[in-house]
Amino acid sequence: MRISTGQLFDRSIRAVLDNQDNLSNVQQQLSTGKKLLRPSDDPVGSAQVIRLTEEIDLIAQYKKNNNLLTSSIAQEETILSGVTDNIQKARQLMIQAGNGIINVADRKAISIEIGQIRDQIFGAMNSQSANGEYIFAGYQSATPAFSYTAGASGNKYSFEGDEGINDIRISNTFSLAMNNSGQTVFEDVYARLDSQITSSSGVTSASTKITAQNEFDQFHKQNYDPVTPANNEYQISITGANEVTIANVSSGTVVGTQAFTSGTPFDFKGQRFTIEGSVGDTVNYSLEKPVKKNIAETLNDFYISLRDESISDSDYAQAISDALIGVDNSFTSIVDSISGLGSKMNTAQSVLESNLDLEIAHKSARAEIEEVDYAEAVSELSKQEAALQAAQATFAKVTGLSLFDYIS
Amino acid sequence: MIRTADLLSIARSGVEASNQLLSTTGNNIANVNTEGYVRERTSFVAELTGGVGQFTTERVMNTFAQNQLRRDTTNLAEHEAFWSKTAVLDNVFGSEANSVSSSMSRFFASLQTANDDPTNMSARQLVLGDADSMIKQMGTISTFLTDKAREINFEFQASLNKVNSLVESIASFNDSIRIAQANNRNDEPGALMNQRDSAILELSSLVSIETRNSSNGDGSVMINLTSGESLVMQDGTFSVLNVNNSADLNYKSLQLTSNGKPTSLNIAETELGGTIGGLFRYRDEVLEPSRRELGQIALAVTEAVNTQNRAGMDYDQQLGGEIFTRPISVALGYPENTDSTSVVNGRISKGGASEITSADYQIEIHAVNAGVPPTIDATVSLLNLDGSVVKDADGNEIKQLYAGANALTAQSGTFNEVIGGLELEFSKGTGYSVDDTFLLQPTKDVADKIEVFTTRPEDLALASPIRIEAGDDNLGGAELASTSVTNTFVENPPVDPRSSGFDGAGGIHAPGSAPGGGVGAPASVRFTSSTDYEVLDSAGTLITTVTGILSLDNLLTQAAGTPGWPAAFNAPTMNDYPGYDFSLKGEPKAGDTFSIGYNGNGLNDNRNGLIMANLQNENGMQLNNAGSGDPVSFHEAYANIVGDIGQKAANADVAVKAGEALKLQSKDWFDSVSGVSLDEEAANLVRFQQSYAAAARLLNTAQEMFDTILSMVR
Repeated sequence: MRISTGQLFDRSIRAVLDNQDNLSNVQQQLSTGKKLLRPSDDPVGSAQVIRLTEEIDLIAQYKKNNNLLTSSIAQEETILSGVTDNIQKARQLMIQAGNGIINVADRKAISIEIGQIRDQIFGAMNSQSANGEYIFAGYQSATPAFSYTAGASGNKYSFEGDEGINDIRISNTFSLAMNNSGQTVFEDVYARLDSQITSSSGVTSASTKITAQNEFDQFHKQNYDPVTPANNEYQISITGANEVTIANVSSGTVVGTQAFTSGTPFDFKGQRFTIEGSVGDTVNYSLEKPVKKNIAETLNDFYISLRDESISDSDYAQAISDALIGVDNSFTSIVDSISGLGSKMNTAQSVLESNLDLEIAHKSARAEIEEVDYAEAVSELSKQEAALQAAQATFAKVTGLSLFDYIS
Repeated sequence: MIRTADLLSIARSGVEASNQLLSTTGNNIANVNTEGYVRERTSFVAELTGGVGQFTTERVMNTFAQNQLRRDTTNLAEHEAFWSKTAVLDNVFGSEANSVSSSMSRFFASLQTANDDPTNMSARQLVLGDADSMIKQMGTISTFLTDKAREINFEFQASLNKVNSLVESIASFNDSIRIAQANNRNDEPGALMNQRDSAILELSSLVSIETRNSSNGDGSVMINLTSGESLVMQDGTFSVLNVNNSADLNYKSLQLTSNGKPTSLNIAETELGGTIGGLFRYRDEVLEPSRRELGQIALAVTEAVNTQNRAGMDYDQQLGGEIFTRPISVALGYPENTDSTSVVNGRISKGGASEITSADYQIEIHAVNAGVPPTIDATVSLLNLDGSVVKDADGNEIKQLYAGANALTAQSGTFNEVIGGLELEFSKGTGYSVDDTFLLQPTKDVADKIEVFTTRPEDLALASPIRIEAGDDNLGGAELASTSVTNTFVENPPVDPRSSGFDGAGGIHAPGSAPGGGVGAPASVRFTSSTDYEVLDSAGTLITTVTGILSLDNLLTQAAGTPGWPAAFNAPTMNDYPGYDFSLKGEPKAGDTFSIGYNGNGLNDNRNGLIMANLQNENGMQLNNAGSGDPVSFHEAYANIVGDIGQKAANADVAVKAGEALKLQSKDWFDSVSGVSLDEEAANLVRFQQSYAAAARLLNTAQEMFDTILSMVR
């Protein structure tokens, strides 16, 4: 093939330029550490890099969220375990107060201690976070969760917040509640379930008290009707010389029969009745509406009973058993919350770990796509360098030849 | 053999011939570096009577090689123009500093931080700051793209001027060559032809052309576009390209006009080839789609955040407002419209984030109906960039006729919701004419027009506006599972079908103020058994009874399906009333109540904020204009733009490399025939010197012979 002089130069210079271009590309990869310099280097890869980077950024945020969540759980856990310690102390004092040899002065001494415990617990119920938010107040965190109204007719310690729970997202698919509402931890605690004699006909005397609280609670829960109060009324009829029949007043359903001797107590569903009467006499009693009392309220009621110098023995005994059951119910509720917090903490930890694993996976996937393999790039660099040198050397050789040099 | 010429004249012709050969060689050597120079060769015929006769100097050329070179030049120029422009966008979209993606990530991350502590003002302020930087980032790229579009319009103009002047000069070279050829039949006007060929080669780098030699052999060349339209004609006339506009003044198209002829032709710009074709192809395939897709992301992300913010309650305990502005785009009238000043305004509709596409919209007016307010019958259709109507997955055109009961209200300040997540305002009232057509480009330059609307961190509605509270006396185990708010539109009294149960004054509709004027909005649910419940208003009046439920999900939606539900709460009177709902979990007992109320003082609530932050993971955007395919998330949509541009740049890069190789090959072919080789010329120089010397020697011999004869006579 005929080669023109222009072609000779063009070809040689093109070889040099091409090699320079390749060399500069490798050099750029090495200096930035990236082989994906612009999306066109790997369009699919760069779209993946965008998504992977988004995921990695998200995981960084989830890690922050997780830290916040665990610290807030830890704070609540500390507060609640402080409360359980106090409750146990109060329970000891209650048992001590039930001791028969305790006199009025001793009761007063105990009451002072109970009062302190009550105030401590009340303080804990209105705990604030580092930002000054009331942690048990739900969404209405700017105001205290519980208030005390000395002159209130019913419960003096009342819940002012709501059931709001803030979720915190700790992974793409998972969010956990940050706080417990005071409603579930403290407020939704039932006082002792009770029943009361409402009326009687013919009997000389009738009294009742609860002797087996668990058995009674079960009966109460199964049968209490919050919609129609009349359905909670039961009648004990002395049907025979040695027998009483207990029936629901409104439905007439017989719920049980018991052996009976006038003046001798008999037990029915955890309740002990003592009735003096003869055949044909009746006693009506009703299941009382369940009342919610928070721990501060329970302790306050007990405090009042302890300081009441004119209280009857039976009322005092009743007050102690009310207090013990109320305290136990609160304790259960708080311990439930604490174990809930513990399991949340475990969940948060395992989600954190899986997030960290994901982060490593995403980062290595991203590195695989966009980061340069130094060994490969360095060897590529020396290869291109050699090629450039060869191109430059041949340039001089090839273009230096001319027939004119040989014509004189 | 008859040789009548004498030796002297044979010798003279030989000297002349060698002289001519040497001058051709010299000319070749002198022009070794002249661009577009084709080496020449002188050929002779032997004279019948003796001696060397007529000589002709011609360019040594292979026309096939020349045509191949022109085609390859066109091809390379097109890909180079396309690639060099696309590579700029490739770099801009690929650069981390410009990444819209990371600024979106930052915005959603700061939203999560604010959710972690909803009462923290500095965290809320950070959300607004990041919202601003996110939208500014999109705006920066949008402005950059707009600048690129403006720049390319200048380039079109400059390239067209170049084409037109080349066409004109080729026509005038044709004239000169015709005259030179007529004057001298033996010598080709090589220099003129070289200049014309250079002009043609340059023209072929701008547009794709075909050449033909004139049929009457006068040396002129006719040129037409590959698509068939003539540029340089045999009769000496020529055509020029002009820029033409439709409704969008910044979107140029091309027309061909002949000098001296009244007709003009529209040209398929992207099939022009060459630099101009490459630029048009870049504009239509890369620049314009990416401008619109970026605008689509900007609108979708801001409106999705707005929609969710409206569904929440802000720190001032009011229903949430807008975080971002909704900019108005002006729909431009086509030049044929009766009144060139009338326009239609459009913007994204509330909640239109998931419907907005990157298409343009055409509004055709069919009738203007008088009335108070006047209405307009119109067809709204989605347009592709080339002006055709977008087709859905089944091949049907996506367009909607609004007439009769659905006619659009024509009144300043009233926006009518139409297809594709848009709302339109016909501000001129009855000032429109039948057959007026408008072009709306809602996504084109919108990203730099969106702004953060509020500066108050309190306006971020992280809380949900409703609160569900279980009754104090509840005995069952049912508790709240989730709440949802879908509508917070406030109108008192609620007449607008968009109204919700919120009264806008920190409460929900009481009896008498709800639609229909009867019972109020649902304010509590009371279970009468574990599978039956009553829905009551705030005065405790029964709204409806629901029996035999199978799940505790969306209790109010279940209630809305019962016969007792007020007709005034349902469509068509109300679209989404009351606009809130809740689900329970666990087992309710008879007598359990759940009250629904406004979330007053609920400052520490982040329910709405969580939904807002989760928009990042939602697939809330149309994948394409046809509405087919699964929706994508904002980040995916952005990754698609980047991947798409990258793909096109990568393809163009390959095409440029292939084009270079092809052009190199054809240039080699052309040069190997037509290029000057100095070595060859050196050899020729020696050879022609020798023939010159020999001819001169012959002359000498002839003279000596003559002298010999003379001396004999003397």
